[in-house]
Formats: sequence, C-alpha cells, structure tokens
Amino acid sequence: MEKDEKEKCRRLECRENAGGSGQTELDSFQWLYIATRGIRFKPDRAAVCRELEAHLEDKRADLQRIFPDLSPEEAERRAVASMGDAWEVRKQLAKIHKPWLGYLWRASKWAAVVLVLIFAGVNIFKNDYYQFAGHPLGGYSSAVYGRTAGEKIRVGGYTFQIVGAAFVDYPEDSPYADGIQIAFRVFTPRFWEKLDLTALQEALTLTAADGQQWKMDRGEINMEVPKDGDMVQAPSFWQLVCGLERASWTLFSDTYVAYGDPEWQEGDWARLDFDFGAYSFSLTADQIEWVMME
Amino acid sequence: MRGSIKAWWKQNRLGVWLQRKLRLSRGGKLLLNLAVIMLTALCLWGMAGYPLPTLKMEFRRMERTYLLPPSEILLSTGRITAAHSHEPYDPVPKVTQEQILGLGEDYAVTFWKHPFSNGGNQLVCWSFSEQPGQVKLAPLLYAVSDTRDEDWPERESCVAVAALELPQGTARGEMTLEAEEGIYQEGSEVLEHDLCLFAFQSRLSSYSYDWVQGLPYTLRFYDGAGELLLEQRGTVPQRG
Repeated sequence: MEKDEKEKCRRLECRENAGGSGQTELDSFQWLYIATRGIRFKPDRAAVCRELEAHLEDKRADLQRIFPDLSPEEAERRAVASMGDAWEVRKQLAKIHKPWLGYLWRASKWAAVVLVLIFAGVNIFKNDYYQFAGHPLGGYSSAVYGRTAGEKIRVGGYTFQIVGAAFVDYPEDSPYADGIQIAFRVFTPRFWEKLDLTALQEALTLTAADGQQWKMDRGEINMEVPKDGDMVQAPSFWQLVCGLERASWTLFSDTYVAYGDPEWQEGDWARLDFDFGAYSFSLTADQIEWVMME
Repeated sequence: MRGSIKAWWKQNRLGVWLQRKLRLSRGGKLLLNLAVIMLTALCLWGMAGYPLPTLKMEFRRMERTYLLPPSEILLSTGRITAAHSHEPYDPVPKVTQEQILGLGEDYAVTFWKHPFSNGGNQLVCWSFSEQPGQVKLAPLLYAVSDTRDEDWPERESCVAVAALELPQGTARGEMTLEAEEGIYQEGSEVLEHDLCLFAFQSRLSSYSYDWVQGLPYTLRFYDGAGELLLEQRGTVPQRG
C-alpha cells in the first residue's frame, strides 16, 4: 500500500470513529482497507482482503461488460457501492475472525520448528550428555537362543515372561564355555520407569536342575588376554559365563539373559527366582533347547 | 527471503504434493503442530533420561523401579553444595548432592540423585539387622555438608550415618567409629522425624563416600539431663 493512501484511510477511520458526518464515497482501496481493518490477525486480514478485492474486480468487470459506455471510474464507484457499507462489513468480519486461533497456530508453528531443530542438532552433533543418558527406541547386544513363550507373571506394573531357554554347546576346541542361557522379558507400558537393572541383579537367582544356584548380582567372565612381552593387550574374546546381561530392548520392554554353567542333561529344567523384598515369585523353564554352536 | 522460500515451496514437488494431501483447516494445522511438538518433546525427554521436576518424584520413581512400596520420607538434603579438601586454600570442585532417606517396614532406603545424569541415580535398601528395640542405622550414599566447623571458609563435606528408632526421651547422640588409623567421634542433636545424623568429616586417607561402612561403632544416647539412655555396639551396615 502507498503510504499516503494508508494515511488517507487512517484519517477516514478517525473521522468515522469520532462520529464524523455523512457517508463518504470510498474508492476500492479505501473500502478494502476499512472493511478488513477489524480482522486483527494479519495473515487472515491479508487473505480476506485478497478475496474481497477479487470480488470487487469481478463486479467492476461485469458492470463494464453489461454497460460498455460506463467509464472505469463510474464502474468502480458502482462496484464499491454494491459491496455495502464498509464499516458494517468491518464489524461482521471482526465478529467472525477471532485472532486467538491464529496466534495459537503461529506460536505452535514456531514451537514445532524450534523443537525439531533442537532435536536434529542434538542428534547431528551427538552431545555426550544425551548419548550417555539416552534411551533409544530399540537396541540389541546379544542373541537369545531357544526361543519360547513361557507363562507371564505381572507384579507392580511389570510383566515378566521367559522368552528363551537353551543349553549352548560349543565345540571342544572352542575357547567359549558351555552353559545355560535363560532369557526373560520385562514389559511395562510406563516406558519412563523401566525396571532397574541393579534391583533386578540383586533380586534374581538362577537355579539349575542339579541344584546349583547363581546369584545375578555378581558375574563370572571367561576371557583370554593376550600379552606381548610385558604389554597386556585387549581381550581376544570375552564371554559372560555366570551373570545377567541385557540382550535387547524396545521402548516398552527389556530382554535379559541369565547365564549359568551347570552339568546339563536333556530334560533338565531351570528356574529364575525373583526376590524384591515386597514381591517374590519364580519362573520356570521346563524345556531347555540344546543349541550346538559351530 | 521468506517470500522466495514460500515461492520455492509452492513450486517444489514435495510442497505441491503436501499441499494437495494436507488440506487442513486452521484448527487441523494447529493439531498437527501440537502433535509434532509433543512427539519431539517426548523424544528429547527420553534422550535426557526422562528427568522429573522434583527430587521426591525421582525418589518415588526409583522405588517403583526397585519394586519397593512407598516409604516414609524422613530426610531430604535438598540441593546443597559441598566442597571437599584437606588444605584450606586448594581450589576444589563443587558438587551438588541431593539425597533422600526413607523408612520402610523393616528397612531404610537411601537415594542419591546424580547431579548430571538420571542414569547415575542410586538407591540402596538397608535391611535392618539390629534386634528389635535397638537403634537402626542407615548410611547415606554420598557427602552432606557440615556447617559446624567455623574455621573453614567453605563448607566441609562429610559422610553421614542416620540413626533411627531412638530411645524415648533422647536429646542427643554420640557415635564412635573404630578405624585402623584411629577413632572418629561425632555427635548429633535429635532432628525432625526422631533421628540423629552423624556426619563424619572426610577421612585423611580416603575420598570415598563409603569409608564408614563396615566399621565397628559405639552409639550412646543421652536425655536432656545428660543421663545415658542407651549404649549400643555393632558394625555399620555395608553395601553389597
């Protein structure tokens, strides 16, 4: 809009608001300015103004088509007159177009953009803090053998279920030790408070059919550490023989594997005993699959 | 700049496709934006370790993840700053220690909030091994600040042991620890929730926060007139 045109319209507004006399004849520009001024949300005001301008243009074109002798100025004057009283239109449009939804939409747009940028920035620059504390949607660290679906026990909002039971048999010349692996899943819909690993380790005992027991708050590791003279090198292999580790996880569940090294025979069972103090229960794996590793 | 971006978006294939598919009203666009905000905020919250606004909420959550029933909160140290040094003018790191002591049916729980990461929060459950009628002990997990020593310009950090279920009429208590290098003795008035908190200044040979655990102790409790109410000996509970 030209500055002087805007200034003219403002003076018109002030005169009218002060109870100025008579109906002033407005041109299309002035009519649009006054009619849309009541719409406080700027994008809506611009959109309505464009629409009304198109209406005005159509009316002017129609008048000039029907009355070819009509001058352009007269056609515009008649088109504006047919649009109605600008002040009345202004009142009606102000009633219909409430600004709060527009402001809310604009605020939400910027909030969404800012948050997405922060999220992208954190992931791109791999902030150590977030990497340390993060809970990824899913992950995997070790295999589960002897897949099965045992009974479910629900305690304190957590569901426990055995999902794997296997005796893993390595070749004689392999450095890895044979042993049983009982996998169980802990599920909760409250993904922000999954069961604490330390609490699980302190509460869990693995019992084999031959009577041996392994408390999961400690571990036994089988590994070979090569030496180069006096220099100790990184382990050539590493195996958890007795203990507990998290095998995989999703947003709502964690799968753990409890390891033990009993003398195993086909048909043997194994049992997980949980003692959380206030809650004590057991899960039994009746069928342990024999898995031969190559 | 904004105009050229808008013009580019309108001509872009993806933009044209989206505009055709997502003919949403103002309210619809608002809902879509709110959904994006919630999803992104949820992801960021998860990446930060699902922090909760207050120490008490963190403590209650930790109890639930340990499958413990809610305990009675006896002590909350709040956000305090502790500095530990054996030399008065050495620059020392400042750490913030937030701890809670709770009392269950036959156990106490101590909770320590890691200052930087929720993943480092710790909770220890101390099952009472003392006989009924005896005073129960629960060591706190990390340092607390001790403001009794006025010679130091900074607060001195201490390792604390809480004594619970005190004899009736107790006005103050005294705890003596027997370490290899000597005797450590501290006193305490009776605090809110009827407990004494014995704060031992850092041991010269160790900066660890669990050096009191496993040491033989002697507890003495006195009434307002200074009469001895109870003397008890034992070993400070040890973690693990």
